[in-house]
Amino acid sequence: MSTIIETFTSGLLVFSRPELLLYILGGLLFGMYAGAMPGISATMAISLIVSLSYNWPIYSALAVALGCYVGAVYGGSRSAILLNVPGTPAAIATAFDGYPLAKQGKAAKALGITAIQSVIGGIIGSIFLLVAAPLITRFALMFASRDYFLLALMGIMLLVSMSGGSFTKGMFSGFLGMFIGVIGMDSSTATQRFTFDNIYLMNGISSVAIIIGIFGLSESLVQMRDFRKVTVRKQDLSRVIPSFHDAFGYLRVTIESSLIGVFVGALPGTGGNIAALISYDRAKKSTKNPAVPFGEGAIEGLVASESSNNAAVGGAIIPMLTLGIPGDSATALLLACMTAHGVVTGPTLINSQDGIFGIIVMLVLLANIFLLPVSLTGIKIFSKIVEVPKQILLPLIIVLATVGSFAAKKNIMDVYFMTGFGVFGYFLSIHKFKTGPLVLGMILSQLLELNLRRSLVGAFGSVWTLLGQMVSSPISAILTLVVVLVMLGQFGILKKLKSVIRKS
Amino acid sequence: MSIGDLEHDANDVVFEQTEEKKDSKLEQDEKKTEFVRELFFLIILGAASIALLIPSIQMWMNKPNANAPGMFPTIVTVGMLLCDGIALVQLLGKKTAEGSDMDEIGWEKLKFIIGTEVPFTVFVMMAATLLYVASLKIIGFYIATFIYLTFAIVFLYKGDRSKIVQALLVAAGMDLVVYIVIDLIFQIHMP
Repeated sequence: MSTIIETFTSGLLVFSRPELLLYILGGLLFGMYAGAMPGISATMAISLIVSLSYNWPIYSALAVALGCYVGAVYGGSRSAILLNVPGTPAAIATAFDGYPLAKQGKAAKALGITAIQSVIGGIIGSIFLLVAAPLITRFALMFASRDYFLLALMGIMLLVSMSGGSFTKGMFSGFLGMFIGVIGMDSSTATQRFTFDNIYLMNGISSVAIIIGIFGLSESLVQMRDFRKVTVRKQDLSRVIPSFHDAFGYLRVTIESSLIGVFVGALPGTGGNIAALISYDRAKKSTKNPAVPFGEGAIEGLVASESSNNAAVGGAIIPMLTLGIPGDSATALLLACMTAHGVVTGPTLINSQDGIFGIIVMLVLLANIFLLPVSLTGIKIFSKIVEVPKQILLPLIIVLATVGSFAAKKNIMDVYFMTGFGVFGYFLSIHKFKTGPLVLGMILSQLLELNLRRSLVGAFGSVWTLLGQMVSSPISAILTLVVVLVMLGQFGILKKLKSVIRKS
Repeated sequence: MSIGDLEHDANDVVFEQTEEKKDSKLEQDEKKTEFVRELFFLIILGAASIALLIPSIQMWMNKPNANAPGMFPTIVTVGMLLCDGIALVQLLGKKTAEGSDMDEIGWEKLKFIIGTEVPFTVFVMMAATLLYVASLKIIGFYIATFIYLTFAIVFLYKGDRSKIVQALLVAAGMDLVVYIVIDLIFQIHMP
């Protein structure tokens, strides 16, 4: 309890620097409009913000990045409702009922409800971040190096398995990401690895450049394969503020979905998209007699999706801060931002003298509170922005990707790498190789390698001793079991085992 | 509503239907060539994995201990090779069950496969983007962006001349926005 009070008290320091509130507002506005644009994901929006704020003071950079994160997750719902094109993956479930509502001429009502529900979900997520993070930190201090290795591996495998498609292709992407992460000078032995004596490569390839290439350029190229499919529809946006019943009449679904959002978001490798889909499914099963069937404009569906994906923001930040393991690719970027500013995340962060942990928690809470007025503004203007044809939008995204990759370190090599990985990402995407695991693998590469090497040194170089430790320690055994189960589940071995047991 | 508006709407419907037909053709082409495209891609990835595995093993052999810098890259590249191999076996198994329809690959068929992998629009935009990025240091960001955006927008509108003015305005507007936001406000000077 004392840790929670200390965290909250240190968070109040934000109010001694009023300019941070402006940075949050700026980030929210940018994130909301960027997230609302089809083709610009929350990850892409944050990557642009992180690259632009690279040289800013730490708190300003964090305020604008966290505001952008919260804004982008909400913003994704706008194009999902108006165009049936989710601005971010987290808004996929929002489109199920949001778009039918828009077709019925209730776009304004749907947009108003998503705004209120996102705020409620976001605040619940922030409160959990404040309460649960110190507890998880205490638990995380019991983790050994091998547990971090297993946890990071589990994160990549969960992302691969939950993002659908071929598991082997997803794991290939994850391994490829890990390989990209090892390029550069080895931090332990100063050995150059795959640098070809190039000075630029000695520091490794910029993760921001790769992420922008993979999410911005390659996605734009993929969309050019069939960019004429999207049609622009005009909507009646005369009434925006929802009624009291629309805002608070579905409190059971709101709270249930927010809790699902927090817990799913806190699992490494998951995120708002998975949380929203699980919550939508849960709401569909638990709502006996909806006024309108699910999939045809059910308010409960909209409520479940939006409260869940914004609650997942607070959840996803928990493992990033307490374990140093990002919950999804967007928090992976936030982690990159913090690392670039010299902040070491993990169990020790909560006790750091400068109170940065409490400030981050407060920034997330404030971003969610500020989201209410921000989200109810600009709906009419926004409807004009999403009407920008893809023939114009896609080249603009490519130019923005170029600007973003250069701005991070003011190095033209980053632009070249962004382009190279963008083109490579295009081929990976059309061959159904998930790019999310590649990014997560790259970001977690250092953590994986460092902890594997530490564990092996601790086991006197013996793989068998390490495997023994993985089975004998309770935490390691549970993590090993999860990793093995995910793997067995993906190859259908679990199903075969079940059928054999049933037959016998 | 005037007759002109009705004609305009009707043209839009025809345009959408034509485009939908083209899209479904692309999807059909993708399915037809899926096996060969997938096979080539997996072979290329497999070859790349081997090319990365060899120096990784050499690096590990130079310092064969638990803290060796070559250990992790070796594990990772073996993982890549294994995943690629499994995906290849799955692909071949699937095709054997369905029967092969791509036994003879001639020049025409190869062109068709490449065209499905990288449709003309994507190929041109890819080439234009590479040229744009390569020219940044030579002619500068603002001129390169202006030329690139104008070309890309007009090209994506299939060379529609009525869009040239719109493209020029968007390109100039983007240059202006980047100059104000990036150069003046953030003090990041583009190349």
